[in-house]
Amino acid sequence: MKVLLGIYVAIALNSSIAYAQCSNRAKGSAPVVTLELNAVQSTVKLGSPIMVKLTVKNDSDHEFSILRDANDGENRMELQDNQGHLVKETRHGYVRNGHGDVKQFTINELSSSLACVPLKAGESLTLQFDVRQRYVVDQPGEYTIWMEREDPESPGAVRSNKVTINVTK
Amino acid sequence: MRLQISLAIFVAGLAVTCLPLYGQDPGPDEVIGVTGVVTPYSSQVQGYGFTEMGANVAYYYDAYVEVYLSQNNSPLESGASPVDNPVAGGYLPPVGTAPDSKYEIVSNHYLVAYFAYYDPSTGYPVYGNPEGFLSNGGDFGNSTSFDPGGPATYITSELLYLGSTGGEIDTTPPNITGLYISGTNTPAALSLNTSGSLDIRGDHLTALGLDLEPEIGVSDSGITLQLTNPSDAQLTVSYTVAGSTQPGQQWLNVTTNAGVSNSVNFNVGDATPSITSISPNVWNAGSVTSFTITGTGFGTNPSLTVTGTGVTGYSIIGISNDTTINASVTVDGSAPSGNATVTVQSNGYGGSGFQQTQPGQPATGSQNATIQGAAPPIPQLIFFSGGNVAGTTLSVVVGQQIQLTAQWPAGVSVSNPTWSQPPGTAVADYIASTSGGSVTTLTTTTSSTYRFYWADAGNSRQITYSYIVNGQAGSVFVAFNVDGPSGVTITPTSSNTVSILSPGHSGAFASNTILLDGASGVPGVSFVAQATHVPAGIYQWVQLISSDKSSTLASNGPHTVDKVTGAPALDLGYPYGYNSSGNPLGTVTTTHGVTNDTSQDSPYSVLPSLYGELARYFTATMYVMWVPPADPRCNNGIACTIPAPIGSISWKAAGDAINTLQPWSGSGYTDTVWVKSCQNPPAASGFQTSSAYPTWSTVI
Repeated sequence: MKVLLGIYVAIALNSSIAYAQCSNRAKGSAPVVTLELNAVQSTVKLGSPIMVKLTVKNDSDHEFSILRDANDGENRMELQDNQGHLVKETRHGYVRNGHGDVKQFTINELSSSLACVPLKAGESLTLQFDVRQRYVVDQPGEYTIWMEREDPESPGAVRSNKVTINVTK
Repeated sequence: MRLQISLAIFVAGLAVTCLPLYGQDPGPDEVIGVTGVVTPYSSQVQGYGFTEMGANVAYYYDAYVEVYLSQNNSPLESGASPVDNPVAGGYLPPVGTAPDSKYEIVSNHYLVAYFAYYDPSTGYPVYGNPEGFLSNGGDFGNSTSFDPGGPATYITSELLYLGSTGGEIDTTPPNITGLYISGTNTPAALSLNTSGSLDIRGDHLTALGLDLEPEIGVSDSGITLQLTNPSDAQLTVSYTVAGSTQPGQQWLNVTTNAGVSNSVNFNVGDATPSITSISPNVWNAGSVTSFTITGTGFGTNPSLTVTGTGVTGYSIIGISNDTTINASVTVDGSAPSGNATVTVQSNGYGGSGFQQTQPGQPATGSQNATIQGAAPPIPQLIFFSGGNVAGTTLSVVVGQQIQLTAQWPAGVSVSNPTWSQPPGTAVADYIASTSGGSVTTLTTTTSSTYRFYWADAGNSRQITYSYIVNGQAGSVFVAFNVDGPSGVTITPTSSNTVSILSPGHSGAFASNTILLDGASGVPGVSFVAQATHVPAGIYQWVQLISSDKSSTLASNGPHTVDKVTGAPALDLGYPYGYNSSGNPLGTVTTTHGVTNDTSQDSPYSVLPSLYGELARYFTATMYVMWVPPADPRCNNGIACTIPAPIGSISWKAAGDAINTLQPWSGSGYTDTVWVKSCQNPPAASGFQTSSAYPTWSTVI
């Protein structure tokens, strides 16, 4: 069974890669980041890129830094079909979506680089993703997608809104 | 033939003078000695000599002569005349001649004097032994009484030698072996209306020097010959051939005292026209030019031809003559600069057509004139789609596209168009993306448009467009002042440590992680670009990884993997700071006022508990480039800039961590404790400025 694991979830955290924080986290603090997910196109022809945009916004009154992994791995993606089942992952998705067992990763998959990106109050950072890089979308249908990442100051993950995308033949 | 030598002797006053008195009678007080040789027949010679006295001399003297004839200095015949008055002399017997012989004749001339010697007191002779009395049959002892009486008188006679006359004669006729242009071995062939000098070569041409004025006969009176330098082997003559001379074969011969030579033939014909000047000899394109041809041998009705690119017409003006032709020529306005050839053809004299003096002789003569082509059109140099920038200096920035177009007026035919190689470092293009980076080398082109980019800065860089139009070479140029960052330095900053973060560590990873380094928001390494001068534009970074090795030790033994399989490999994306998805990574920032003046990198590796040890070795080169804004004149819709390289800095880092296998005691995570074994914190070498572009074909 695949279990979505948060970095700071207390159980079985050693089964996935998690990432450094660029700001000090305070236990019990409220999340300072909000995630907004948008589909570039709500209807996509099967085989075409399925592009979504994730906006990471500093929703606090102060500046902090968010972590950026060179492979966008700090942003986990969840894709479910119309039955609510997790769609089969690509290898990239297996490593980056937080579902994989770190012991199963290759050495190369274990190494990357990072940076801390400062965000002033109210500022946001928008990233784009091709869903197909992380999931094998080979059937037409309706899919639900959302993303999450760690909050830089609170001990938990923040999740985006859900987006529905219709993949047609 | 007759050879005669005369000698005149004035007896009175003892004045003796040689005069050319042949055929004259001696005057008072004169005695003439005459010697000569005649050839009564072609095979005989006959010498003679005479002593002739004037009347008053003959009153007192008798004449006497002795004649000697020699052949080649050997005596041949001689004789003496009887004493006579007033003339003594005569002919020797004729003798036969021999070839190649020279005959010498000498006559000794005498007067015969008569003397009477007596002693008035005794009446007897007193001259005891006078030579003259004892010789020559003198009258010694003969006693004769002279009227009007008196003592006996003794009379004798004496020969008074006056002098000798003589000479030589050659009996071999002259022989001509050849007729040549003087000073050469070119057989003579003479052209009408010409003059010059000929050598008549042969032997006995002056009768062995005895006849220095031989007669030269010629078959046509239009040919005038004048002897200028005689010798027995060669007669040099000047000649003039009148235009009235009949063309064709003529002959000449030589006559000396010894006879007439053989005849030698030579040809007379028309001269090849020779042009000595064309005035004016520079003809402008687009004009009709009258000109005069001067020379020789044109004949009485010459023909004219003018050839050359752009010559559209020509004609003879008026009546031409042997030395002058007036003509006109029309040169087209598009004629290029070059030569025109003027050719005169002789049609001979008097309508007889051209008569060759010798076989193969051309009837035409040519000379070149110069065509001054019209000034060729000059192209405009268009920078993108603007106005003409030829001769100006433009200001641009490195990395900005340069596009020049040579624009010609319609209908101009251009050959050999060539753009000069740009000074400094220039490339045709730099194509870079995540999948690869490459430089397109700039090559010379003959197309009308020249497009390139400067990779480095510099002033007064001239681009020249060369061409040939209408046969004339030309060029135009435009200069550029190329601005770019100067005094650029890259300052590296290192975290100076390698960190191992444990799960649950404040700001740490969920797993143990070795950082090279980036803990707590401090980059492992950062590079800040600063310059003394930058134009408008931004920095751009590219990181190429030479090696990224990870070594692990697990239950199945050690294992090493290098991420880089085709070094150098691009680090994630192009430009640096973005990954292959085009998402910004936050590794390029602006910290000192110029956009993107700082880059950073913090490699890390997760430390799974299944390994006993993990080490990572990272080596890379960070390139910094300059991206200018597009030139506002670039409006052709294609990419108007490429980054211009500034330089690079290499750096590396390494760290090694060991799994103690001791359970990690932190809350919320299940893991083991890892410790740092050794480290090589990020360290950079010196910054190297360079105009070389980073290139790659692989990406990790």
